[in-house]
Amino acid sequence: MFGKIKAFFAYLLAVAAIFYMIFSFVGMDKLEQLVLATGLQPTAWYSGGQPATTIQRPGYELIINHPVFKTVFGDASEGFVQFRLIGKPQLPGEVIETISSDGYHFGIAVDTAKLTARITSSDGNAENVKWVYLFDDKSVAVRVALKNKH
Amino acid sequence: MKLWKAILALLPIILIAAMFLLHGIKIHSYEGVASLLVFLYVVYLFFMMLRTGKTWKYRAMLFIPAALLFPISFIYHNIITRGSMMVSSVAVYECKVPFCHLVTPMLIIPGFAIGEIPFPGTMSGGFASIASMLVIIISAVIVLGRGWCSWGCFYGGWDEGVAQLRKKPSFVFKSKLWRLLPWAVLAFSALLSAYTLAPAYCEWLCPFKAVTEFKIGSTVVDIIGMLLFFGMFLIFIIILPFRSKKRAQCSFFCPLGPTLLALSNRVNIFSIKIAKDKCIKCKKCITVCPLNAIDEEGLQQGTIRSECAKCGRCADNCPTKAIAYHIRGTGCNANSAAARLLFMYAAYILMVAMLGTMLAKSISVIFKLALG
Repeated sequence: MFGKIKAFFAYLLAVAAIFYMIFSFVGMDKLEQLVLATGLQPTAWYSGGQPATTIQRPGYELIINHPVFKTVFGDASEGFVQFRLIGKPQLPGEVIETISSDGYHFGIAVDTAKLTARITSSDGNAENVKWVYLFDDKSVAVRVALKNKH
Repeated sequence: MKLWKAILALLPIILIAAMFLLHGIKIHSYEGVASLLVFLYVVYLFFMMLRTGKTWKYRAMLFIPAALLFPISFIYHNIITRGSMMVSSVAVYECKVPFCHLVTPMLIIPGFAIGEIPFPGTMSGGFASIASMLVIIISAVIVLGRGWCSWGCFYGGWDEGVAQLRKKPSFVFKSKLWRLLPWAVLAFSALLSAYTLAPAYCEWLCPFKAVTEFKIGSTVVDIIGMLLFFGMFLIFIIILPFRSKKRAQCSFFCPLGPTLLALSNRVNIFSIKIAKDKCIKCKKCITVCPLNAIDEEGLQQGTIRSECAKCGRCADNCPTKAIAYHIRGTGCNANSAAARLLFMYAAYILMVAMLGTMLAKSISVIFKLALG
């Protein structure tokens, strides 16, 4: 008797598995929400981290992210801060900015046409410009290497 | 199976295949024609599985071409969206790299430790987002266990295809150390990924990078990476499968299938079972198993290793029908035909939704390229 009940539930589970397989594609949006609810994000070492400040300037917008130092094994001694310049409608050729994020301050000159940048002043923690890229949305992203002061 | 029974059993697949392949298509377009052709093809294959009772052969007839043609649609997509097959630094930093299931083991440690995924993909929306691929792989594993590797993986058909090219093997994976290799690959990939917060397997080992995408080789490190991809492709996708007639990459070099997915097989509802009383120890199953999931020790005990991907080749080739699909919990004398049919529905839905749609895309790209 117990064996029959067990077999019944086993077949029931196998049939349910078929419907779940269909649902995993048809209900993809709902199941995706479960994954998104975990809060998982691509690592900040790729994405550049979360935005900390947005500053409106005449003709463009400056979005400064939080500095990135976090690793699985604690904070790294060297990280970076990333910021983006979004033109409205177009970026000026050269932009002089002061970047402040989570206690790190430095001045930078960004040539948005040539996609180059140089640090103009530093609190001693901004080390060098890692890269300057033109993103698909026509914003210019800049990443500056930082020494972890904590 | 009798003709009327086969037609009746085919009806659900006709509906599901139509839903995945024909829904919303324009028939007067390359996509429409390709989808219609693939629809007819997948329906034919399932009908033949039912009618002949053979699983492996007709599964392989979709599994292998879908994998071999997958790079065409993938590379075409990359060329259209970012102008090149290569992964540019901008695509990496914008997190626009398509996610692949082989990355899954590498996100476990960083995911739990700091909630971050060591991969430059997009979480949701767009092509092959992280969330959508995780949903597919997790769902497939829940339903099929390692069946994913024979019914859903869009890479596995490469080494399976190459393994069919010669009649007799000239190399046998005798040493038991081979079984440790995927665990070593998993440990290396997972730990290095946790340390560097970058997908180590994708950056250094994945043979399929050779036919999909890799970073532009501008530095010595990038060039070494490219050479490794082509080297691994040559060894694990061409030479070893050709010589051994086994799926060498899937058996020994994949960080996901022979490790974590094999573990999931131990609790999965669907399995393959050997009836000891019917087995005549002809060892045909050992010879034909593409994933080395049956060995002599297991045959004596009537057990199949958890590395089994439920492709059905052993069952198809067993002269006494001692090997059959089984639903866990249904007892030794359960109806194996019913178990096979239920498994095939679940597995084929995955196959049509994943590989069928991919094959349709690849064929439509071929039409576009050939006909303009």
